[in-house]
Amino acid sequence: MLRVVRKRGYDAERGQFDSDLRARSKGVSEVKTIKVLPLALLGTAVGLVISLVLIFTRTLPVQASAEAAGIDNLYIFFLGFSGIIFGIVMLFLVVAVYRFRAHPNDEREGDNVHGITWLEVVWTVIPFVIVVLCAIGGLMVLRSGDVEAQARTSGQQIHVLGYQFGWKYSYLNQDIDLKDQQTLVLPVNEPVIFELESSDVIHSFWVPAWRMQMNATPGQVNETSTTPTKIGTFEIVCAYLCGVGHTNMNSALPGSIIPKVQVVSKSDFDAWVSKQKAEAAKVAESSSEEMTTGSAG
Amino acid sequence: MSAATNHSEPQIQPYRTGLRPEILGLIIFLVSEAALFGAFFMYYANLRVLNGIAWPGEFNVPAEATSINTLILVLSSFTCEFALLSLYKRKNGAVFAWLLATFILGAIFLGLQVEEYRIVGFTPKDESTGAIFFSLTGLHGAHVFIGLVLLLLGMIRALAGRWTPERHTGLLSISIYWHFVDIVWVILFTVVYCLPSS
Amino acid sequence: MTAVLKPTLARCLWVAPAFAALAILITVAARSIFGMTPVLQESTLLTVAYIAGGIGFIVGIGGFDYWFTWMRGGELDPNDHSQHGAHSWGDYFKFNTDHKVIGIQYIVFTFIMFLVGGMFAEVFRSELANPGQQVLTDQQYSGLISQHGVIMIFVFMVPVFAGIGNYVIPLMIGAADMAFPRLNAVSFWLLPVAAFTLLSSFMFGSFDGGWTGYPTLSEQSGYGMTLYQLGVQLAGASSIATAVNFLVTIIAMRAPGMTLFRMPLLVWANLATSALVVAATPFIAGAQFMAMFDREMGTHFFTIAGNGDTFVYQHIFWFYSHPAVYIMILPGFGIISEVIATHARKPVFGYRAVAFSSAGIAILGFAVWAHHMFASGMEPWLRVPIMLSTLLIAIPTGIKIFSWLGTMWGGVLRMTTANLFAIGFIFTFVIGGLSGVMLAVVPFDVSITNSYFIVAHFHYVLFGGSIMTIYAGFYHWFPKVTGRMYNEVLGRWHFWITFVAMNVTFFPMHYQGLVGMPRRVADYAPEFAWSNMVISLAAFILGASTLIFVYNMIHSARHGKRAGANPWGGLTLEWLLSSPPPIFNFPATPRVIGGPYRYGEEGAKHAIVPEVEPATVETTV
Ligand code: HEA
Ligand code: HEA
Ligand code: CUA
Ligand SMILES: [Cu+2]
Repeated sequence: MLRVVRKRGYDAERGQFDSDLRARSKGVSEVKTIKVLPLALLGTAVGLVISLVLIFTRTLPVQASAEAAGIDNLYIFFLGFSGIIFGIVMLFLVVAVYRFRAHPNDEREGDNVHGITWLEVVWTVIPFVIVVLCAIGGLMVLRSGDVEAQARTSGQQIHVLGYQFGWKYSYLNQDIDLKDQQTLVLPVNEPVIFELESSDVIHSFWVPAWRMQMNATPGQVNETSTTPTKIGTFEIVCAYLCGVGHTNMNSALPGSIIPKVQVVSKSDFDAWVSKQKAEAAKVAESSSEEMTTGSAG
Repeated sequence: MSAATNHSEPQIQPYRTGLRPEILGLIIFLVSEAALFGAFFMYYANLRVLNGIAWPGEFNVPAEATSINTLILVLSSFTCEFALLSLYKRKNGAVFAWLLATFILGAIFLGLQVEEYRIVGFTPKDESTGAIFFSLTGLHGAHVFIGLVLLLLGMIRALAGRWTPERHTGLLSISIYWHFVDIVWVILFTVVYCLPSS
Repeated sequence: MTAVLKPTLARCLWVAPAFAALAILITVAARSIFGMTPVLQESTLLTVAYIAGGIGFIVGIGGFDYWFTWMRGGELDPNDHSQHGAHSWGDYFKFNTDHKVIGIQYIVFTFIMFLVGGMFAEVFRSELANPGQQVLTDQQYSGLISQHGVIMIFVFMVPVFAGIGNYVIPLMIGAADMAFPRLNAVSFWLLPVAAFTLLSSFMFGSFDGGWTGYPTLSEQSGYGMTLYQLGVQLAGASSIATAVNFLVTIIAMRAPGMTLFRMPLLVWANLATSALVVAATPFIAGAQFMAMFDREMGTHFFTIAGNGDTFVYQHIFWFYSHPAVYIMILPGFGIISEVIATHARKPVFGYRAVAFSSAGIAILGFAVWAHHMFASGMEPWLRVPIMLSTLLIAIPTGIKIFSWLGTMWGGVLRMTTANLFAIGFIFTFVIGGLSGVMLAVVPFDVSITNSYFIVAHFHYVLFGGSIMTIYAGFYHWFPKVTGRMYNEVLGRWHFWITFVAMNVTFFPMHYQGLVGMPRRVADYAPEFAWSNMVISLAAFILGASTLIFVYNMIHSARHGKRAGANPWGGLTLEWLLSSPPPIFNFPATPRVIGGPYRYGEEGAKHAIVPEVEPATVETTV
């Protein structure tokens, strides 16, 4: 059995892979080489195309909060480098399969290469750089999303109580307690801080348009914040499995009893607030009347 | 079931460590036991250290009384080791006696622990602190109990004359296990009983 | 009627119920003595019966016979091999101490569980195919996804690697068997008990808290939840026992000359995995103990009522369950190294880097658990270090991926089905890994966590990662195990259908998640209708492709072409034995004289097995 055994596939002098086994085995003197660097560049190009396709076909919900743009940019950055990494890996995979495929009854052996140190260093360092960039990007977006301190002084402070199966809101700085399942109304362009709590099991308060989610956990107050920047109604989705009503705890479902969140202009909001206060006063009056007449159970 | 005598016998492998595989296996197993205690200590740390929640009611765990108990258990580690030493000297009677001493000390420990459950003044159902107190000490108690059973088996085999300096892996394992139970207790005692309670 | 007295499944049929009945009696007696009311507390009695019945099953199958003798102080015969090796079909249904038999038992059993878990997926996919709820109620839907996740992870993915390792590792390191053959058998027989416990919870309305079983939801559930907590612990005990066994075997039983850096990479991968299992699995046991005490004994670990902290459950759970995902992929990485090197006829590129990166992943894997909790309301400062450590994991994983590419480069790729799966694995795993890296970045994760984007991520790494490696391994070692070749044409069909259907099933889920479809819901907004229909159809095709595989394996094991000892020309030790290997593996202790991947070196050898007269081969498969 004839075996063409090659000692080195990598030509250190030329810095290239010298890998055309087939040529060697056929006794062809001129050895075709595959240059790695151009291939990597080609992979990058292919990857960029993939990234761009992904970026332009992406279907994200509207950006309805101050944080949304930053997070979406982060996502575009991810798609960018992911596409490139994927492109490079795939190109090498495909080219390797195409070039180094064995033919039937092909008894040759591969190159006896055990490793190339500089190459290994390269593919350790480049991913390191990329993940450091990810971390920096993540931290920047995290920082800029930090409007909590601001919200305490100038914005709305909303207590959200999750329960099976619905949400109940209180405006801590307006002294308004909404009833169960009553619509959450917020002024546009004003920071909001949410204090989430649950009375039974874990729920998760997710507004995809704001790119914001936080669990409502029993026995604990979780804080998160956002600044709505678009007027309109947006879906509220309970994202954590909370029992048989979990599916329906999603305002996007037809027939769901969960109201969407409503973002309105400042003046509309003020009008809404005074209406709520008036109503609350009326309710309080009538209930105190009931108390005095003793009809309350 | 057919006998396998007509097959070539398995080769005795040259071991690449100084440790016998049984002992190595035991030590690895004890690492995972330590991790199991670790899960409960994690809960404890979160509750009492990070959140500073006190024991239920007016009570505090009886640290002074339990320190005597701790001494008893530490002592039993020594008696257990003496059993092994006697084995190396081929004193079979002494092996049995030391194992018996270890067993008695362990049993006293367990008895006192149960007594403490009676006097401590809260139950596992009293708040999360009660639950973690009883589960930490209970988990340890269960280990002591298993240790006692093992000691008993060690004594039976000692009576049957099965331990020799050449074949004593079982006894060595029992003693290592017993030391582990002891060490866990010392840590538990320090953390749960002695560290300032809030 | 000796069958009912000898250690067989028949004996289990009476011993297990007897144990359960005895335990119930004792409990009832104890409850009435201590005046606990009600004396006949149903859930307590059931739990006790399950635990005792499980022990009874192991006793019945003969798991403790040897140790009972030891305990009585009886004489033991270290050369008693009556329970070793399979001489007939029946031996696969008995307590057997041969690592090869146990390996096959593991693989067949866990694969059946894969089909069962996959079947659940098909059922709930048919519910998801159309908007509105047609097939399942909410309750049934949650029950099915939870069963799907738990079965797949705890009784398929984790143990199937234990099975492959069981078969291959003692052969690869030149050992006669695992270090503790009886413990090995007991850890296998614990699995049917765990599976029974989990699946029988359907009788009590299943468990419906997802595979994570978070309190306080788990406190509201029916009795099925207790069985989840019990079943997970049983499976965990089994995997700890196996891991201890692997560690000792690998550390202490290597053939002379098998230095650490001459070990095949699968052995390295299993070393790292077993260390992870030993250190991490007790944490889930701890979490489930506490949750179970809450349910069954009225303690307040996680209830709000008694100052409990639901939050700690999540920490302890993920402290296991993140390392668990690496438990489910590291052995797969090992398989890929073997398969690619053998079928590309080339040494693994950067052997040491690949070996060390397993260890790196294992160690880093302990520092990232909280990336599952970014939106749970944990301490905000903790997010940053967890994000950093999670991102770092991409580096050792990348080293592996690139090293495999380097291995193929300049090789002579034999495009067998095993190799196809290895190549397909690289494609799909990189996609899953990259979406994992995105999830590691806190603001992005918080914007889409608990959505179908997560479902897409983990099916890409679990199906596109682990399962592809498992298939690669099955095809690679099939000739060794059965002595026959599988059908390559069917193998190719299996690969291509699985590969395409897998991508069509799971890729669109990324989009669904980004647009706002939460996970674990039985119904969704109308805008997701067509994508869900596509996914469901692809999922059915994916399920059907499994049948090709099953047919190929069963048919080829009986009628396939004879394989010979070394059909792939592998250099590692298992290929130096006959196929299937003799009952006691090596006729004489092998000597290892070089690295495991010396492909392309003229006449290079990894090891020499001294020839004694050929051992009789009686193994039937
Ligand atoms: C086999 C299983 C497996 C594997 C291997 C992984 C691998 C990874 N996972 Fe995944 N994960 C799961 C199984 C797995 N995961 C499961 C089951 C869940 C959901 C649990 C639940 O909630 O039910 C989950 C959820 C999950 C989350 C939580 C999401 C959420 O709930 O909000 C996160 C967040 O950080 C995450 C991250 C990662 C990362 C960073 C990796 C990394 O290890 C990936 C590394 C790999 C690569 C990056 C690709 C190859 C590398 C290169 C080609 C080099 C170049 C790359 C770069 C420079 C980026 N995973
Ligand atoms: C190893 C892990 C693994 C594997 C292989 C799979 C495989 C599949 N998974 Fe699963 N999945 C999980 C692990 C896994 N999954 C986990 C951990 C969860 C999270 C659960 C939770 O939220 O808690 C999940 C959740 C999950 C969801 C989300 C549910 C939800 O959140 O609402 C979906 C949705 O489509 C899904 C689909 C599928 C599909 C279509 C397959 C397909 O690949 C299945 C292919 C089908 C087969 C292989 C079966 C073929 C069988 C036959 C043809 C008949 C055989 C006959 C007999 C039974 C005798 N899975
Ligand atoms: Cu509330 Cu899900
Ligand atoms: Cu994780």
